[in-house]
Amino acid sequence: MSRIGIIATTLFIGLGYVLGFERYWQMGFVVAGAGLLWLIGERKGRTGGPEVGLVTFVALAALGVYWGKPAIWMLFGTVAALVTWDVSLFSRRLALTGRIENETDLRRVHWQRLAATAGLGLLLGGLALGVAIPISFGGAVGLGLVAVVSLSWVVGSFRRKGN
Amino acid sequence: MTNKFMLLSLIIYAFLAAGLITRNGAFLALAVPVIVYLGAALLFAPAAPQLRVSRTLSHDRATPEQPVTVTVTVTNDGASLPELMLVDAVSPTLHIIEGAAGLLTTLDSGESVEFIYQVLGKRGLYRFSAVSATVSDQFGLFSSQVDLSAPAQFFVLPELVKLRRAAIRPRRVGLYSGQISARQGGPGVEFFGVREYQPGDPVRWINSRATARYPQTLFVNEFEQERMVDVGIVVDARRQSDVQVGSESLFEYSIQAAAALAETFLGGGNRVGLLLYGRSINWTFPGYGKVQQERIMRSLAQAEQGVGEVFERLEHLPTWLFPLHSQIVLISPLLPGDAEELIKLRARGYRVLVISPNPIDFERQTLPDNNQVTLAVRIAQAERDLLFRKLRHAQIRVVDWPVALPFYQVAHTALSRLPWQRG
Repeated sequence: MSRIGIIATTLFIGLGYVLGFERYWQMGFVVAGAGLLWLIGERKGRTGGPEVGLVTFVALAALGVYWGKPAIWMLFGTVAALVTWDVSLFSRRLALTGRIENETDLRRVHWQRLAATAGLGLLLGGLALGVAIPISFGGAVGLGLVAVVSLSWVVGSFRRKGN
Repeated sequence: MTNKFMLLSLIIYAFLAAGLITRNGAFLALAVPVIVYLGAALLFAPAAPQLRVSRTLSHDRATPEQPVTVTVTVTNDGASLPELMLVDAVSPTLHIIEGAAGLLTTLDSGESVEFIYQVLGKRGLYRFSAVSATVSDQFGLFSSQVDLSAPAQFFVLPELVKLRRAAIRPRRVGLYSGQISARQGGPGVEFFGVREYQPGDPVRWINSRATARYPQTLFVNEFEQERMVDVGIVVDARRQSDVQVGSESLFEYSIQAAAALAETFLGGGNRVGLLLYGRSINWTFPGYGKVQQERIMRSLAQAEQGVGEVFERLEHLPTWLFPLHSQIVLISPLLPGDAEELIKLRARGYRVLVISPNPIDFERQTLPDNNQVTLAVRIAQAERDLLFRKLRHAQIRVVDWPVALPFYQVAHTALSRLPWQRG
């Protein structure tokens, strides 16, 4: 399943670069190469492969957005990379376990939640792409700071809880 | 919180930073699916697990070929757990032959789950302590791990070889009847001598021939009394006296001999104690019967070799643990300096029997067959023969055991009858 995900991720982000034509369309080859490497890593079961794959494709998507490539393809690519990363880690976790009880239920619930989350993420991301709210530079910095502080608070509280 | 959570947080930070720096809203849109994913994981994060665990073992003692079945049951007393990973900590020296020592499952409130596996182990004591339970959300971003205490233990006892007889004759005998000739007249089986009739002697004991010679007096036969004796088994657990060939150790043969001899002596009604002489002194107080046999077997099951500077030589053998004139059985491959200490023991009045697993034969099997090795083996064997001659000269019984032969065979030849000895 994760192989299909890798191919989909590569296609989405690659198409985003190629369909953007004007410039840097050659990056499509880089995306294809990265996809191939991720596939090989996945096939060999390399430790850290899914993480490297996710970070690489998210970075490629961000670069595409920066270069003005169609953001919708990059969004599709990001969601596909996220799903692939999740599926890959889930499969590895199951493979490492000696015995799995209620495996069908376990997989079904995981897929349902993942599909719902990916769908919602795609929908909200698409809406965010379509909506343009003009705000001043100061407003943008303020909102950004609020987001960073909120996220830091969430991370910090979970870290304290974990300790 | 796991590393996955940190990775996703970093990605979100990066998108937010990129959006702010470039003032491009599309970066924020790319962060949205990741935020939703993180939010969903937060929403379904599991509560602290409330689990109960119980463990049962099919045996608390086993032989090396006997598998032990471990059954672990976990009951959920708290909220439903979307993903529960149970891992039982199994000693690395145990070999799982069937089943798995853990499982991944979902567990609703009030439900129980059970996993069963079979293990096979070498001689030793195996302890189980806790089952590790890790509860995580469906995405594996938040997890909480608890160790559920479920202690249990079992022994893998050494292989027990049955011996027909192990003849010993220490000078000191006990009060209770047994199977060892006591050098005293009285009720028994073997003829001991003739004495004058005393009131109460059974009529069938009357020696008619002796009585016929002296018509004025009645003579009766006397038999040799058979009593129990004190036996101290000493197992040499010094690492320097051991030989390792691959995964095999000569020490295991010493353990096997000790188990067989302990069983035989206890079966004869004797009082047997066990001393493991290695890194430290491990003493199993002398006793009788099946309970003592179990104690000795458990002690042998746990026996390990060690290096202790104090116990490098046999001179610190705690002889005060053994009653004077009792029987000491030393099981050791023997080191060159051991002869003097054994002779001292003999001089103090102990009867000493040495069972010596042959380290030369044991090591020889892995060495190439060439002239140098043959010569080296001959020299080593000559040194060993010299050591044995020295011991035998001091009236110490020595049994050389080439471990390629089964112990019962060697014991049958060397221990079934007593050699002639003075004193």
